[in-house]
Amino acid sequence: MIVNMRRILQRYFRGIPKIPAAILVMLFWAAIFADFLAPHNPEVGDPRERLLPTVFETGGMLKYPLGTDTMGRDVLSRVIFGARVSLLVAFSAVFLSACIGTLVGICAGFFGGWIDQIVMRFTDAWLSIPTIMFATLLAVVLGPSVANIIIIMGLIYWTRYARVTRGEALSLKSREFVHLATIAGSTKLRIIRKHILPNVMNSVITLASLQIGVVIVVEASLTFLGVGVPPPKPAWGLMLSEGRAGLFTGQWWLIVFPGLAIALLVMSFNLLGDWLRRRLDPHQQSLL
Amino acid sequence: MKRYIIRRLLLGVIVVWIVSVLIFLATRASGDPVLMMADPGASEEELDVIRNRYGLNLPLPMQYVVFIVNSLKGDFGQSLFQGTDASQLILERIPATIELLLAAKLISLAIGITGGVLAVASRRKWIKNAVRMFSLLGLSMPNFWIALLGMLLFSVLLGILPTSGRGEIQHLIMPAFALGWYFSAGYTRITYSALLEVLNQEYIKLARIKGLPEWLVIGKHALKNAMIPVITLAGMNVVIMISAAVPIETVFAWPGLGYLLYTSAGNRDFNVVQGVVLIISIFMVLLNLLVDILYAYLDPRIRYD
Repeated sequence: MIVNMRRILQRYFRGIPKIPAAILVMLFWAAIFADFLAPHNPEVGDPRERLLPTVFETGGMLKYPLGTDTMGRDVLSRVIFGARVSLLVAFSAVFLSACIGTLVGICAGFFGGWIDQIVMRFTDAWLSIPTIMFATLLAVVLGPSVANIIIIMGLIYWTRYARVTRGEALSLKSREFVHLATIAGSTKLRIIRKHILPNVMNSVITLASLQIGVVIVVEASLTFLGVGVPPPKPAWGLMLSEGRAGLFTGQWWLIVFPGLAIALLVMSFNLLGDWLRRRLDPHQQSLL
Repeated sequence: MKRYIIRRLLLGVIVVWIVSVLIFLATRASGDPVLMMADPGASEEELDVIRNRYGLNLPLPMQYVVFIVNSLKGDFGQSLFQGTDASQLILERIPATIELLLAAKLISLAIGITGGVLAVASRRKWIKNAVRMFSLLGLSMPNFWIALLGMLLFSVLLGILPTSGRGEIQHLIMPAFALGWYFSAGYTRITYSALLEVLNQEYIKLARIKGLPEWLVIGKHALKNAMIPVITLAGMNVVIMISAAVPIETVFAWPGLGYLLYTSAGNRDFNVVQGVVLIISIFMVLLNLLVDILYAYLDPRIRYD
């Protein structure tokens, strides 16, 4: 049993970059078990213990290892809960955009003709709209909330999936097995579901894994700008925007730790995404 | 050639139209935008004046026509907080943004190309790893965090660079670097792979046989041809850079469009936000169009279908 497990692990995770994988596991762990791991409530602070420094400095308390913010909230707890917000938003947004993009792309490639033309012009248009600006407009109209930021980013990032899956659907359409399925009397819907979709999944997963880092950074940026996750939720981008003032009054911990969390998470995703791409498409080689 | 350009122009018009429809729909996503266009305490009569001016009592397709006509006239309404025309506010901010984008572009190209060349040319492994690490950091750190760390180091601790304002070169260094770092990673990657490809070609072998020193082979003969994909990428990611500039401008209070967007979004100044997005998007479509046509001139092998 154990031997089998090891073999399976070796088969699927061969050459996986270990440090990024470990960081990712840790952050997922933090996100899932935040309620047990975080020493304090992330949204309610003690006003008498505002702006305490980290435990390593004079005046720091063991109770608050990474210090407290302007409202006396524990920075460590907020960073831990921040992983949950960040991962939840990123995964939902990527999933949503991958679904929209794949659906649109397959339809465009498979049906061709005017549907294809419309879809291609739409993707052209989306690529000319600056994402953060458009997201800001939507957020101003809809109002900032976690659900809205997920929908907004899902609506913005579908174009890449559409382009890739369109191309693949186009080439799959003329393959033998699709012709044979048509002759055998399969409906178009069945062909798409049974023959096209499974064959584009590799590219969609690779694309999604590379996209997730971008989405995390954009979510943090939008939240930082005040149009993403609204306060008092413990989001890393929010912590950075609230901690900005601390820069000039010496509270360096308010901006260093949340940013470090974002950077570590994104870097791990980037490295693992790159590993995944090489696993699924071994012919590519690149510096990064 | 002529047919290609005409076709491309027509497609461009369609894309502009789609962009305008998307932005129009976004502005109407909440149902009744009049509450966002007027002062918070406006009376019912005042609301009606605005409804008439922007045709908000008309059916949706007609509203779109009014929206387009007003936009073509450059009329995005009054800024709710400054009291001036939104379009004028926007125009005032354009030079600062262009200045920042150009500086960031130059810095990112300089860093990126240098990195790519170093990774190819050096035989020492640690240099290659250093370039890799530098790129990876640029890709992974949110640019506004780079900006905040830069302020902490260079403004607060060392006191050598200002934290905000515009005018001197010192004001430009940190924002341009914080914005450019992310993009330099892409240029490094492309320079690296393009150089490797070019270095395999016959004329490079000839240059080497001729006895040219390695730095001349790479720096002069190879780099020239390896630059084509780099320049293409540099053109393509302008629109991403404009987006990425918003948090940077916000952190440094850089008086450009991004900062205007940030302050307006904070004030729920709908008219200005809508104007900025519309102007930039249309401008981007036109820029892409221009680049495409320019390519057709420069590289006659481009397909004309």
